[in-house]
Amino acid sequence: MDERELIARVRAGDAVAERALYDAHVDRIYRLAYRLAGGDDLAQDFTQETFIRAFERIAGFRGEAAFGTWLYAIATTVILNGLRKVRRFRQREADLDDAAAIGASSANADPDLKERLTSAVDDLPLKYRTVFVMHDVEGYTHEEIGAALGVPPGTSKAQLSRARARLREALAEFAGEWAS
Amino acid sequence: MSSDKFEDFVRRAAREYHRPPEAPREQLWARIVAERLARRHERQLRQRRQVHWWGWAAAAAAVLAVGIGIGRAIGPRPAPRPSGMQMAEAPPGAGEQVPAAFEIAALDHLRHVETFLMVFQSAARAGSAAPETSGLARDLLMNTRLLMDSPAGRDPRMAALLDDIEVMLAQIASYADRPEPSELQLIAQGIEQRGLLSKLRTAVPAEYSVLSAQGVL
Repeated sequence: MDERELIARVRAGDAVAERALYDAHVDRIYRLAYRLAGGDDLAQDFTQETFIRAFERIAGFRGEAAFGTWLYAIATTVILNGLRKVRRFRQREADLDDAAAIGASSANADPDLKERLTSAVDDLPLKYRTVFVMHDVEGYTHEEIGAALGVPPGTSKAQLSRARARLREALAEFAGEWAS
Repeated sequence: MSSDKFEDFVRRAAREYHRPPEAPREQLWARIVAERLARRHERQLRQRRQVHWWGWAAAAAAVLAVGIGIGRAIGPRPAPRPSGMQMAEAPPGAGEQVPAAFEIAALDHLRHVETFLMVFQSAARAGSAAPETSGLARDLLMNTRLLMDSPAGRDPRMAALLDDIEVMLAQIASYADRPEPSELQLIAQGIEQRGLLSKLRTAVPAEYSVLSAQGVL
């Protein structure tokens, strides 16, 4: 059964079709949520909310774009809004903690390249990190990223370029490894 | 070092960035199904409560209007409300007894207005008001004006409260002509700034609410 037919059946209230549509997309949504959230709990929350919203709004899906594109747009909205809330919450918590302790923990970061890269990517502004993860880590095209984030593909390219520039700066001490 | 080399390096290294485990498909599906059921149930409950409330309030408003109308038709005409100067000289309505029927009608009306305004504020916070809002506000506005001209309106505190209510209800009733979220927010702010809900709560004794809820009144 092709996706159009599945969507028509979901609109008609077919639970089996809902499950089939979920199975077709859940892995990619969960992967993206996990990469951006950095943990299973939030990734599950974001994936759950994405599918709930998608099923609620599927009557409004007009089929002008691929279903996947439409779904990734919902997913990125859910993930980015969720991460902003989490960041605000964590910021409030951090404000209450001992500032010295926070400084010490980041200053003593493991110099290992893998951890340094993780830390550098984590430190990117959210919009750069999103584009970087979608393109360089998960393999989305700039067209897909643009459609998901509601920006032109050119903006996605520009943000990726800025993200890489920041990473290059943050990882300057490992220059020998990629130059060789 | 070339840009290409850096990009290759980053791409290779970034594969490990927050590497996700396999998606817990069954667990996630179970969560989605449970959450959708819970939300649907909650929505149905909310709708049922809302429909019940709107129906009840409209019927109550109609009964109250008829009651006040009859009272005005058979009772004495109320004295005109005093001006601010007169209020300073002698408390208007002082010593005047408001007939019990009007007092009960007024309290009943205030309780309806309080419930209506609470629902309205909650809807305003959510960014939209129910389509019935305007009609119900007009009914309550009509009753408010009837009460203002009734013996219940002779009491200065009641008269001031009814004045406040009249202004707010008139704004809500006209909201339907300009259903913009900003307008909704302004009305909701007006209710807060006037402290209308707390005035209403003070005006309606708790025991009255209890008796009324039990059907004693």
